[in-house]
Amino acid sequence: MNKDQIYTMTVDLLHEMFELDKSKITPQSNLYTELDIDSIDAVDIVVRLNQMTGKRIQPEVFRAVRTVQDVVDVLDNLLAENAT
Amino acid sequence: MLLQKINYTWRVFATGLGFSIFGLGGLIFLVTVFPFVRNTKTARKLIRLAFKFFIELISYMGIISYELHNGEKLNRNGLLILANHPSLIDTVLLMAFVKDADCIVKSSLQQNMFTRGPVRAAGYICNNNEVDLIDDCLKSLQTGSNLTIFPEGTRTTLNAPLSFKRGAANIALRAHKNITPVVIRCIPKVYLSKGEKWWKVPPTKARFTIDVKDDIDIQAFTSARQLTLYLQDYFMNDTQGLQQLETEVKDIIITTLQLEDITVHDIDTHAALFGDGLGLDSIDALELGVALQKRYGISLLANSEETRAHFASVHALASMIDNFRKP
Repeated sequence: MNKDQIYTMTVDLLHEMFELDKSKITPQSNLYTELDIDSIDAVDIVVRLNQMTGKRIQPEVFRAVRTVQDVVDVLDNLLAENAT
Repeated sequence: MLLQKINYTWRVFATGLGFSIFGLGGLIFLVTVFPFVRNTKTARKLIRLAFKFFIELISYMGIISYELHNGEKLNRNGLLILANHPSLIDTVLLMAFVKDADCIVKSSLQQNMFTRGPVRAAGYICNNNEVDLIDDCLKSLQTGSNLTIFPEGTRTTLNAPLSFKRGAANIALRAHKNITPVVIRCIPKVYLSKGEKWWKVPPTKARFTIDVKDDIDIQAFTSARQLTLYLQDYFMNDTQGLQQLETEVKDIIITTLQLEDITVHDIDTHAALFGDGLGLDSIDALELGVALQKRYGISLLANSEETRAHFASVHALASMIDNFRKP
């Protein structure tokens, strides 16, 4: 999966989980200050991503995440590990 | 006038005394009782009775009064009780009436030498980790505790719309538990509220109403966001809606015009303010107008036909203020 596909998947996921308006989401959108994600939502996101990728995102890694692009980068790294 | 001043001074003094008694009582409990209490239910019962004693004491001292409506609805197990949080006192008020109450406390209260004994003995949930917090709350409900949460997370900011955190809604949805809302009103609004100094007591005694409402069925809600918005509206309507405004206006009438021996319950919302009804005169109207302008920032034209209509009754005044506040 390339980064564009991962991005689209992430936006779809945010829309589905939190009823966020897709047109309001950009790669630079801050999850916490702009998209109003709280700590419980963040945990839910990690759980969902773990299920979808079949891998385990380390909590420390996700704690550093701020923007939608950060989520995409985390996923990209995770899937790259898979390939090697 | 003098009597009012004495009463005011007394209430400042008594509020300070109240704090001291609360601290001292906690300390005595800490060293005498809580080292020997091993059972959570016993500890919770002790805390409830101590709080009940405390609010009876401060009511007797004349610094607050309270009314509990539909208290029998609290006589159940495993309730998820959500309340708004206008003043420092309402935690104590609510915990005095909820049996086997569990609540979420700041982790600092678990360390504080005055509070750690009771807090640990009662097994209250500690909020140092937001992720475990939800699981701890779900477990608490499963054991049949009455979990009591203030979804604002802190005391209400004066003159601002209510803002709820989504944790409580998340718990309700995950536990499939209907919500028991408790609406707490405080008149005047400023007693021990957020950002107010404790010695700035309001001109009249603080009167609390604790209203236990019918359970809110959560089945129709699919997300915590949706449920939180609903809850915010629900509590806003009850605490800042027309009904609350009418009570506030009555209170302003009583305090501004120094109507002695009259309480907010004695004033009919729809009765005429002048003449036959409450019997106010034109000087009263002027004073009242100034007080309302100061409190709500409304501007009233003296001697206009419109102003006269607004002053017809408490209901008319409250509706006018409500319209003015709407964006």
